[in-house]
Amino acid sequence: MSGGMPVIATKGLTVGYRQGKGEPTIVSRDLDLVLEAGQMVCLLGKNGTGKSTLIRALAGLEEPISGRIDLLGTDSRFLSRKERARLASVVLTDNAPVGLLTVYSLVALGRHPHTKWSGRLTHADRHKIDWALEAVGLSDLGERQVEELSDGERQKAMIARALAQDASALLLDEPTAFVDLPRRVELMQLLRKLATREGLAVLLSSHDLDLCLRCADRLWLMKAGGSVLDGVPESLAMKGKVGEAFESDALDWDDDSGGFRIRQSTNRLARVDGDGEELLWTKRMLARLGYSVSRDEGASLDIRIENGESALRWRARAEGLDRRFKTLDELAEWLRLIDS
Amino acid sequence: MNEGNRSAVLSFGLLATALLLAFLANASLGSVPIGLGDLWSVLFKSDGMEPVLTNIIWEFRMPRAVTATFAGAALAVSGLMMQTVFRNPLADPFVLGVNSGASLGVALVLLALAPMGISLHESLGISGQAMLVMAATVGAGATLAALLVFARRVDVMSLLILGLMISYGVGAIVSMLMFFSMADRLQAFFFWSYGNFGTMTWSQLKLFVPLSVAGLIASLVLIKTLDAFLLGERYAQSLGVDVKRSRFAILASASLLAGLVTGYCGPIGFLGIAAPHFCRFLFKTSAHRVLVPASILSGATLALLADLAAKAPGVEVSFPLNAITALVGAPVIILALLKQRNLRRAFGG
Repeated sequence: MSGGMPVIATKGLTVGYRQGKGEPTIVSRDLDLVLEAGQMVCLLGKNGTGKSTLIRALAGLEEPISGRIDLLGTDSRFLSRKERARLASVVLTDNAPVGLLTVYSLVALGRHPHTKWSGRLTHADRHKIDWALEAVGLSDLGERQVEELSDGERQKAMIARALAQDASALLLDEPTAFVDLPRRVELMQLLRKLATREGLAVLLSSHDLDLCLRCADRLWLMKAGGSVLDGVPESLAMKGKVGEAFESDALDWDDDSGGFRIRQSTNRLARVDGDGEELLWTKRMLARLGYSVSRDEGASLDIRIENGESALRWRARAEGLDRRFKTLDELAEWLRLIDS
Repeated sequence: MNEGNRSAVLSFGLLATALLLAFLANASLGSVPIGLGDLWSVLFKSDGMEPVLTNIIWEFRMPRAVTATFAGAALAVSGLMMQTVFRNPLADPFVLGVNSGASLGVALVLLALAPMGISLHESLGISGQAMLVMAATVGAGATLAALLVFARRVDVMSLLILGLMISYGVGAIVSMLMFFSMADRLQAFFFWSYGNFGTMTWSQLKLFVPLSVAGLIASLVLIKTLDAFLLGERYAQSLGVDVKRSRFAILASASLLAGLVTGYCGPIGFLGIAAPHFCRFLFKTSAHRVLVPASILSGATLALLADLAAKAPGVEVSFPLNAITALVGAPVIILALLKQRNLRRAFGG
């Protein structure tokens, strides 16, 4: 592993798109970013902040408005298309219609920049394809038609195709967008592994904040307006930067839990005492039901979670009533009752 | 050699055999049936045969069968390339209005230029013929270019509708030309517009065959590029393909092939869709390494069979070729759509 070597470095990069002959629409301005070998970087940001545009520009699919992109130290403008394709591979959101192709032939398409004009696969090409299939765990599905794959498997096949391209950087636009949670975690672990073991520089865009906070080596936080903050996830979170980038009318950053909570218009206060798992989920439930939870005295609802022998763990007091409950279900029902 | 490879080799063997059989059937059947033995003697022994029979075989049957072979291959490959570039299972020279562009070119030559001293279709010498082909190719190319301009802005469905609209628009100009033309020239145009492999002479084939071979070779050279287009233009670009130049090269060869056939033989529909889809169905792949050669074989076979049906052996009349291809092709495509979902599968619809 060649850890730390910059694979992609931008200098004063300004990206955007041109429509017609008018002035280009700038999405991000003056970006100085470095993507290093062996690192997995998550590009996070709300929808429409320009994550895809940046990824496409880095992959050479769109001309930058200004600034430069260096691939392994060479200004990408001086690289041929083929050389560029050997340095950076992509997995796009384009819904690639790949019916009537086996997984193997799909992955083989990645060898395009390496084969001669006839496209004939050499022994080395086949070796690389097998390796790519192995790396994503699809070795057994090589002869399967791509359209018979599940969403998660198809995404892995697309990643294998990019791997077969044998580039130093792997750029993925929303690779986890259409797969369920377990598959999402699996994909992230796969990318993580590719970065660490193969020394690839992996950049993926996502709005799966929680997962990225847990998996990424660095975050590139893209804020509305297109500026990008670069840093270790935890440090960005501690400085409140993650909260800033994502906060909206519906979401609040919660420093306690290191995640977002849904903002609700509420003026009811609840006080909760207790610890452990019960405390966490009781607070979550109260928040969902529209209480703001605090430790202040004088809240209209007071809940204590007791650790005693009694099966009646939750003791709730409100409006002069004092009740005990065995489960959160019962508590929820009662709260709904006194609410109406 | 693994299982998949062996069945592919088998399928190619079947396709080649079918082509050979279709060629022989096309050459031996017609208004006068000729036995295979006679055919063999005339072609390879040459002496001692009836001059009439020799004449029929050498001057009529062989040029016609050769024309059908190359025209079918050309149309199939042209359709295949357009389907890949437009990423549309129904793209072919006919549907995308390319044929009508070629028609306009031919109509201009036959109906507008002919009165200015250029002789009629039947008596066109090599220069006149070349002009007709050029007109058809330029017409086809212009339509394709117009579609390509739109192709960057609109989705695939709109593109098909645009092709249809171009057909209507161009058709209107052609009707206008026809309306103001003289009867004998109209006849020539009508005759061309029905589609026919039977009017070719050896001297015309001297140009037709090398040009279609050139187009087919171009398509073979483009196999790797065509494969890169399978995932769409963005992925093609990410693989290091010069998308604009490659798209131009692909569509230029496609319009050369389509324009060539349309110029010489008239507008012949459905072969360009039917043959590639038949191959996709047969080989279960979209890889052009397989599809291009397979489309050449099956396109040629289908054209020979369609021509055989148009000749209607044993019946006094013959039918317009493009009516036959449409009568057979349309139901086949409808069936494919309904039953196998093959068209949609081929493009992941």
